[in-house]
Amino acid sequence: MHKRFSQQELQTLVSLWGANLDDWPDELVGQLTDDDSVMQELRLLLENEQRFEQTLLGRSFEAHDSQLPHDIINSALNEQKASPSVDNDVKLTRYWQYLFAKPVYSMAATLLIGVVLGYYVPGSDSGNVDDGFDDYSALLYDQDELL
Amino acid sequence: MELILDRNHQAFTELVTRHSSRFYSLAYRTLFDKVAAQDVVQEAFLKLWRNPQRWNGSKGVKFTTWFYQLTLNLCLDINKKKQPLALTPQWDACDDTSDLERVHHQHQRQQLVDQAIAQLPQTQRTALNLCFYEKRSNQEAADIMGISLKALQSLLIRAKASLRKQLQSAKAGGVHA
Repeated sequence: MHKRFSQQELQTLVSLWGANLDDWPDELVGQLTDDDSVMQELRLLLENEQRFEQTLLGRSFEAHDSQLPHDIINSALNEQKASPSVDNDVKLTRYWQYLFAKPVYSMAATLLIGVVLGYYVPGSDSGNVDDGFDDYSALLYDQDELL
Repeated sequence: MELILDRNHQAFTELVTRHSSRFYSLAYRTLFDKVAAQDVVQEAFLKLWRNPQRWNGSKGVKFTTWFYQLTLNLCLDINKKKQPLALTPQWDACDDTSDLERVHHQHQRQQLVDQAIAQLPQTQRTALNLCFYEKRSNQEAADIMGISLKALQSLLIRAKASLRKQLQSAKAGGVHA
């Protein structure tokens, strides 16, 4: 059993969905078209709404200058030329955003950085393997020299 | 958008060429000022170019929805600083149908609609601009304004009711609306 719509309800629906029934939700149109008396009332309201919408469309409007897109594009290009470092900042930001968007990559990157630092930070216990100084060569030092 | 994230100027050119008119249209209807609307659109696109990461497609927000939001926020910032709109046309009743009179009446009608819309509260005006003039769906308009669908629908119905009332009273007063 379909709901019976009052004139006030129909006017609200017309205000909401506009003068063209094609723009209305199908389900709603289905409910309304089942009832001839409702449809008659609705047609009148739609005609009024159409006139009202025509009036609203009469609102003043000034088109933009034809060179607006060109001006925007040129401004962007000039900014890029003026400060190319912005490009690097953007790339760096993208890299970090990508990295931290995926926890697995983030953990892998942290691990990698840790390993690299472990090898190359001066004074760390592990690493420094290429400087030719190991426990054995330490024994060859004369203690006096060290003192 | 992926290309713009990579600072591809050609992609940016394509985006501006394709979309600047629609965002200008919203800006103009919000500001009632061609120069200010053009400035807003330019500023919005430059913001995008400087920092394309501001739009995050992975959050499920369409680019156009996000960019309408950006444009609208810039417009509202300008409107906050501006004096209230003062459109005060003089009306007179006339039935003469000569060309000159017709043009005059058309101009009057235009001013009448402009004035009625300008007097709407900002949120109702935005709802009307997005749904009626920009042909956005109710759901997208609600997303752009950051409100619920019900709230958007309520704003739209109240805006139209208020306009209908104003236009009818102007007509009763002798203006050709």
